[in-house]
Amino acid sequence: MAGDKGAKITKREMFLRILLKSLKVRKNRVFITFFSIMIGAAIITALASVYFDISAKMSRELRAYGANFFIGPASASGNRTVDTGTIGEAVKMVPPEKLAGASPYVYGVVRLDLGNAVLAGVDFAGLKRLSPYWQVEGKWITVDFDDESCMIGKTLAKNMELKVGDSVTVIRNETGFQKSLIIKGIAETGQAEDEQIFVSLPLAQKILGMEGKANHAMLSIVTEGTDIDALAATVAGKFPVLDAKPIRKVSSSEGKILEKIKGLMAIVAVIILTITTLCVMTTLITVVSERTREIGLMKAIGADDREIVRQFIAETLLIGVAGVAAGLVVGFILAQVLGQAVFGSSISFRMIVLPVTLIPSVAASLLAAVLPVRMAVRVVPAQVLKED
Amino acid sequence: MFFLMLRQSFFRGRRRKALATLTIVLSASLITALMNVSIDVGDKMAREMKSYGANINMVPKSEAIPLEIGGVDYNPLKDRVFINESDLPKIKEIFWHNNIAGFAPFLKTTVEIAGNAKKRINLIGTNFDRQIPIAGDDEFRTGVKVVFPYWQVKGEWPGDEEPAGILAGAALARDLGLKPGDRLTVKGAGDTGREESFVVKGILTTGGAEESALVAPLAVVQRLAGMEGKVQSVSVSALTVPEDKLSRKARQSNDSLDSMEYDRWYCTAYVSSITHQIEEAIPNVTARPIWQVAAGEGAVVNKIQLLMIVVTIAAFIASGLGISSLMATTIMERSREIGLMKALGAADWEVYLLFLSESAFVGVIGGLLGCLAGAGLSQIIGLSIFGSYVSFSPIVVPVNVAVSVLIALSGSLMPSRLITKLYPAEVLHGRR
Amino acid sequence: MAKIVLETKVLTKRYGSVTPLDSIDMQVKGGEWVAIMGPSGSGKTTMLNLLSLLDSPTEGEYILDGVGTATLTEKERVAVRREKIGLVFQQFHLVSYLTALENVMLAQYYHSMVDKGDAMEALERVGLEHRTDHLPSQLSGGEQQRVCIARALINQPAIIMADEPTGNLDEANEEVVLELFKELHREGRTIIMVTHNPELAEFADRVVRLHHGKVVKDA
Repeated sequence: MAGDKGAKITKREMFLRILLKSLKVRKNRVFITFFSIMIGAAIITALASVYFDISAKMSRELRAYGANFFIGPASASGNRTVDTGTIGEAVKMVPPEKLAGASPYVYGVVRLDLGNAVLAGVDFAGLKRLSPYWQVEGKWITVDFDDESCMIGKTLAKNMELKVGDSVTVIRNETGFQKSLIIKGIAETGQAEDEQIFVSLPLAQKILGMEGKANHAMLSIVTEGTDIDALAATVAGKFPVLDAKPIRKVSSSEGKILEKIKGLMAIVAVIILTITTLCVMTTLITVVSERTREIGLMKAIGADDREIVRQFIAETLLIGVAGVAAGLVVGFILAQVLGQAVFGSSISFRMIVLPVTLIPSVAASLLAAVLPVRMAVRVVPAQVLKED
Repeated sequence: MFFLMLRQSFFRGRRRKALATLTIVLSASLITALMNVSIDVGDKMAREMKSYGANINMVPKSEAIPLEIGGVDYNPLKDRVFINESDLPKIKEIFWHNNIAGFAPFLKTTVEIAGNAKKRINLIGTNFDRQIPIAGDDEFRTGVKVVFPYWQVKGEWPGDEEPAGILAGAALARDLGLKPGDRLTVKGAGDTGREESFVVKGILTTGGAEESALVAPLAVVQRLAGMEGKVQSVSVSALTVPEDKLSRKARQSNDSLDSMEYDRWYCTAYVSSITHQIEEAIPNVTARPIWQVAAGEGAVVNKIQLLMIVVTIAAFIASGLGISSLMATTIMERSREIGLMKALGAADWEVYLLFLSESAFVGVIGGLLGCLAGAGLSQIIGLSIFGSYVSFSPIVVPVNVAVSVLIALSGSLMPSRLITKLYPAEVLHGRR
Repeated sequence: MAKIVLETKVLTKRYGSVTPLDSIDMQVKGGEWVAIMGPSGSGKTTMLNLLSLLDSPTEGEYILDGVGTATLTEKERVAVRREKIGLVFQQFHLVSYLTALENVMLAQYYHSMVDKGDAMEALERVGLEHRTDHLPSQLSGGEQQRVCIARALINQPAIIMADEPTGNLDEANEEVVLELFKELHREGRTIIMVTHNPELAEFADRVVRLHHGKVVKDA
């Protein structure tokens, strides 16, 4: 024992010692506290991640509505067509990751076996991404240079008594062009397309005698973070021969819908944040109020209020920080699970999630620790100690 | 005796128990609100999606194929069939009449602008915002303002009853230098054409073919074209549910459905069953879904519904775990009491019974009160986001109460087991 | 004669209509061993709580070491307790997650400096040098009480206040604890001990008997 004599322990060392012991010996409680803070932080992280990503995700989903941007000949020029090259360059001005789909269109009237119809030349690969809403019986044409096949609108098919797999002869009176095409698919949109026949752009240009020309182009652009009106102005400014404009029907509705969805998510996120904060707080309050007797004892042997509050805050802070750190990791994984389940894609991590998670979690933990400690401290120690 | 103990222990630890009950009440209310909203979000978002415009197009049954490119008709001489304007209120009398949000009739004719004989332009007649007499709904107003909320007018909308008011498409106004307030005289096509004088009330932007046309009240255009009481097409905006297996099967052919499937299809607000019902109600018309709107709406609404469900489940799990840990701590706190009970000769199951029935009680009270508060909360959410009430689904109540009890029980079970396993002496002497 | 370290004047405690302690006048001199006795509910523990500043009186005056306590703030009361009083409880009251040694050091920590050597010595003195690293739950009742006494002594308080220190102990342990108190008395410390054990009271200089909150005998 002599060796121990005079072994001084600083106040700080003793403080840490009490802290560590309290965590080490009270494992069950510490675990529950840690666990509830972790769950809370995880849920907040996951929801915050989803919330901050929701516009990006939903604006991609809203591309289901098809084209929201139109490029055509400037009305002042009097032309009814533009060069496909010019259109291609204009389309390139849209950042590739924002472009969901695009296709030029060329139109003309042709004669089919049983009467006249409007023929449209399109870029099928682009069209399929541009118009995911087309209801196609049979198959889409997937190869751009397929000049043996066509797709046909539903009403037209009905009136001309055509079915998938039939062949149809297309005649253009003005050019004398005549070609027999196989019907790959019958499309239904409920709009003008139902009365049209679709072939690949090069073939249509040949049939109509409009090589290198198109009437207009339709684009489907992911609008999150993109000012579509500004884009229209830039394109029109750079190519005076072009008239570029958003399709109001789609583009203005999109903003409204996105706002609603964001609002909905915000409210839901706040609700869940409240639930979890509440659960964490009550758990902590219970854990701490369990220790009123200990607090009474500490006061009886000479601890002043500050000392007690300091110890409890340090303890909670330690568990809290560990819980929040674990919660951030778990929450991010949870966000990925949500993202895959709902959108089939991962949720990107944003720095803003950190403060959004940290502040309420830590604040709730501290508040939850201080409230019962303050209550316990105010209790006269004699009353607490007398209870058995 | 058991009930006495239950009552005593419940009231003794009143403050703690109040805390636990309060947490369950609040969590249950929030969960109730979330469940309610996620059940109703489909309908609500479908209504929001109406901003994309009409999802059904109604045209006369006709063998003719229109040859129209960019609003210019290459086949104007063909004999045209028309829909009688007097048939239109029947759209509001079908089985799903409550789901018809609005409709707008259209009649298009070509006119010349007086003093500019070469300039032929389209004159579109429609209803802007007109009261239509419908049996059982005196206040039904409809027109393009309802059906196409994205139409933007600079200036003001003309009234349906003032024959001189007209909208000029933005492209046309640019070409002709028209401003709101300008006067304009047009002449019907052909030699017999009558002349009408209009005042441009506003400039219309739609991003579609209407931008290079004039839009006037329907009656005026009918008179000008000599086609009183006739319309060419009707755009209908209907609230629909997303397509699924049944509706796709029905679309291939109605005959492929057996009678039960047919009834189910007919009584579900699919866009295809609504078009079918419109065709039944009005003879000689074809009603077709505008798939751009109908299919896009389905895709987006499904996504949002899925999102809400997944998020609600996440919230469920989170609050479940939160309440479990709360219950666990409340039980742990009472380990001494459990030790004492055992020392006095209580069997383990008696200890369980007391604590679990207490938890169950807390769960039931919390769940019920929570549902009540949640019903209110979901209305607040509905009003603040969608501006309308959320319908309350009764299914939420039993689900919520059952789950609250389950959560409270599962949270109590683990620590009760831990503590009952101990010897009474260990607990009584604080060796927990 | 030694000076008066502790004096009460009409000290009264009321809880609503109940008056567990009624107008106590008492003086205790330095180095005196006073036993407070009386049946259950006679106000013994209440009195000790007031004397140890764990509780404050409803009426009356309490002068400790020449200082009136009525005007002290809560902070000052804690400081006085820390400096002048060592407390021993009937139910031991140790911090459950700290070892015997750490429980003793805790009192040092709140008082001033933590000195492991001194703490070890205090435990040695109560005969627990071999149990220093055990948690309270691993100690017997007698051992726990001895840790409490070591803790009460560690800051060299002038006054030791004990509430039924042997109430929960067997005879053998009672003997050990009694010996410790005798030793403290020889050292000249003031001891105020609540007990209902007449054997313990025999060793006191003076026995104060309470009944229904009043002093019935003081000799």
